[in-house]
Amino acid sequence: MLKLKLNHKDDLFKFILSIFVFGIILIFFTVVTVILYYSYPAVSRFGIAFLWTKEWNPPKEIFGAATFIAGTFMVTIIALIFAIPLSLGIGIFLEEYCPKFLKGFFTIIIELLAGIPSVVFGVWGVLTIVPWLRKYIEPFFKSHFSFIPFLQVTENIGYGILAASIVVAFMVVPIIASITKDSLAAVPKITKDGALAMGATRLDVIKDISLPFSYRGIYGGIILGFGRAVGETIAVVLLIGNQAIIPKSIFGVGYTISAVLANTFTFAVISPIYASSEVELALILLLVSLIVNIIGRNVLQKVIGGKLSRAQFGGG
Amino acid sequence: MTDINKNNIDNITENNKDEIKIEVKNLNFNYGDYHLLKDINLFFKKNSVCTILGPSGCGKSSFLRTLNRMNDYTEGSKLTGEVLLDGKNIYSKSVDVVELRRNVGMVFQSPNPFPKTIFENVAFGLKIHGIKNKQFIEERVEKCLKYAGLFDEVKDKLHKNAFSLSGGQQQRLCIARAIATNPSVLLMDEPTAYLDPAATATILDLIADFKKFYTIIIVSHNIQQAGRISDYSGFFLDGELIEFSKSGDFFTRPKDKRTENFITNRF
Amino acid sequence: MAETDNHKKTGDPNNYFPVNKSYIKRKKIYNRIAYGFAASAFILGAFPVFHIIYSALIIGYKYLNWRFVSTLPTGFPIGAKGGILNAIVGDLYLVVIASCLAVPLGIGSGLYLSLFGKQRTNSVIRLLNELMIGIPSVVWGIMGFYIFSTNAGLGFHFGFSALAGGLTLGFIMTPIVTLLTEQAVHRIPASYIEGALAMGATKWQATKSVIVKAAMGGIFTAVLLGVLNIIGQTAPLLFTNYYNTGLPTGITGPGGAVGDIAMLIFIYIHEPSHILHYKAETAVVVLLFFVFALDIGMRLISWLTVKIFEMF
Ligand SMILES: Nc1ncnc2c1ncn2[C@@H]1O[C@H](COP(=O)(O)OP(=O)(O)OP(=O)(O)O)[C@@H](O)[C@H]1O
Ligand SMILES: [Mg+2]
Repeated sequence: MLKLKLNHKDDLFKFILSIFVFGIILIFFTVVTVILYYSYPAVSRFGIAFLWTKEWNPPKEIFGAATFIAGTFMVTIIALIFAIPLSLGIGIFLEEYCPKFLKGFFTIIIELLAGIPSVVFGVWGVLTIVPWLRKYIEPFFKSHFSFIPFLQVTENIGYGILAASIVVAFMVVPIIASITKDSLAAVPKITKDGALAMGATRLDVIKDISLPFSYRGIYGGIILGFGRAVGETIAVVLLIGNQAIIPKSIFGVGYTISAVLANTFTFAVISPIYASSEVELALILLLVSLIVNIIGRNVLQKVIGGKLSRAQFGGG
Repeated sequence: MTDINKNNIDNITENNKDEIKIEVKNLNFNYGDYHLLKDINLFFKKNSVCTILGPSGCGKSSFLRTLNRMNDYTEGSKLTGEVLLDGKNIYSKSVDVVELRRNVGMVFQSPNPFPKTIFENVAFGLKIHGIKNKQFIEERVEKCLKYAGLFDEVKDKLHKNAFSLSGGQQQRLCIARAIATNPSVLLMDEPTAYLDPAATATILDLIADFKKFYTIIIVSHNIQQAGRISDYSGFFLDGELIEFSKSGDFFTRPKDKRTENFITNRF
Repeated sequence: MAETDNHKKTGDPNNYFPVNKSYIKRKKIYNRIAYGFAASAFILGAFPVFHIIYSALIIGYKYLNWRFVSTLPTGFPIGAKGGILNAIVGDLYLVVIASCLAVPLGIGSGLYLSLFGKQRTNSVIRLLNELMIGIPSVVWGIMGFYIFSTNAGLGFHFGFSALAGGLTLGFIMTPIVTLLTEQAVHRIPASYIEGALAMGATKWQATKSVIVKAAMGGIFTAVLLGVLNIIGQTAPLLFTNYYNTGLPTGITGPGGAVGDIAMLIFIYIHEPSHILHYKAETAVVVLLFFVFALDIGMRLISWLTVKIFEMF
């Protein structure tokens, strides 16, 4: 921050810029206000029970979000179960193992993954992941693992929670991986050298120096990845099967909050309470994203100075 | 015996082979195309202290890092020649780098404790070499902290984070850490560069004391210090070893004009 | 082994060190395994990038030609014949409208945050700005519907139109441009700005003469990254613009809706028609071309900026 006395021209300049700043504050409050305002009828009518009511019945005007919350939760958690080890591996590979002359190029590849639009991921899921699940994975699980809860296959259709989770996992990988990489890079080289000079292997350094040093940053990355996964819409709509049932297996179909909004919001606006219930669904997403990002941002601030990496602004 | 041309070294090797800890033969070292260390030949005697002097950027740190193969991690670097430790080339294929680094300890320019407790810092070397016996570890940690003259200061806070120590204490902790695996060689890269005079004096006393166990090679900027603690001194300039001899001769009767300039300018 | 004996000869004789050879052998193997896992993780993570491009190209190359990008969709179902001109034109509309909002707002706010303001208030603004980056796009879409599109109640009543969609995308783009502009100004060496100010320049003059020049590359990158982000957005357009198979006749009201490549892909892939799936994959090639072109452009600019800095 530069400290200087202002003169007239600067006053004018500052005034104009502050109008722009007012603009971004206005945008923030617009989105929050609109969502609060239009969800208010549903919030006041259904109360907190909205969160655990399972029925979603527009003709009878009974609205509960439990089914969609469950679907959202399942997709997010399963996606993270895939994405976390993958991202940690990628971050560790790029920062600790990868030959220096390849590091830049390899990092760009992971950043490209972040830039791929979600509709493209969706198409890839429909044309690649779904057939693969249907032809190979589901029959395999059906014949070998049908006794394990959550892994039963009733029909080989490919679409469902798992298909959506796999694709969402790839969408959050660049976020977690790049933050992992940045956090590992923040470990002082001289500390790592100290361990290497005592006869530590790379793995010793990772286990005993790098990860203990940077785990907070990695948590932050996971939290931001969670935020991204919760709100992911277009790819999920194309893959999850879009049926309002709480899935009993990861191979089952389901529905997420974002998917139900994408599919039905334009019809819902015909009925005020229907529309309001849908906006309340959006309110859940908004609140989760705000909370998750506040926490994630705070965690990251301490590790990598809160600098969001390039992979944060992926393609919609 | 002030000259260290190749013949001289050969003579020494034949006569007192057992007294030589490390012998460097025709060492050349490149960072990519940059030919830094040029045909270095010298030896370090067992249980002696040797100081490496030279202006900034002349390759002292790089030289030190070739002695425990830390240069392995510098991409694009290239090394030719031999470094014989107890008569065995440390760059030969059969050498176990992990064991080499246990045997050749290193202390860095600025204190670099691990983000762990004081106890864990000293125990680190034991842990990564597969020692699990708790009692052995505890005894060894205490012993090494005592050797490093740190035990009395930290005995009540062994399980506190190492960063809670002062700079001088941290550096002594790093020394304790380095000797925990009982190396026979200690490499020290300007170990007192960032310390105040009192902390520096403590560490110099340690070094003088350690001579009875270890062969110590120390990079220093401080010529007075070097004269005081070292048995041998070497002078590097632009990656060349200009002079290497007994400290007495080195400081009073330097053979090379450039050495003399370096010494006198600083005194 | 000789090494095991060495420490007895030298080193501290009272500090015998039991060398555990088998442990060291094992830990080296573990290290190899960890390397293998990490490298496989990278390969698995990089796989979709290549497979997505590959699977789009393998279909796309049959349909991709000049006509595909220069004609409107026709045939039955619509799109079975013809190309995607409506969507390319539509994206142009949306990007221009969004940029009209986001570029001045984002750059202005970014400059303010880096040049003026109190530490406290600025950090609150920064927080709000970064929180906006995390808001899911479908939420923005619902906001856009009520503010811009709906014809009932409050709002601008633009209908499903380019203006409504573009402004909603502009809302999404603004915080990205703000954040990156501020970072770009921060990367300018302090001596640059202070030099100008020491010579008696006002901040306005300093901005004109120094900051704009020095941060130009970074600010350009900020805008490109914003465009790259919105060009792939589909969800917000569902409620604010939807889709038009033809060219728009205006930017608001009936006939004001535009096509959009991402939306076209989304709609085509829903249709039970192979030919539309093929067209969707071909459109993926076009969309990825734009995305990667922007990406490369951005990297070139920031690379050049760094080079130019190094020259001085
Ligand atoms: N990793 C590296 N890659 C390329 N060049 C290097 C690298 N490390 C050091 N150098 C170069 O090698 C030369 C010697 O560096 P070195 O650190 O060995 O010098 P030094 O004598 O220890 O200096 P100082 O007294 O400042 O520590 C320097 O010119 C430096 O720029
Ligand atoms: Mg040095």
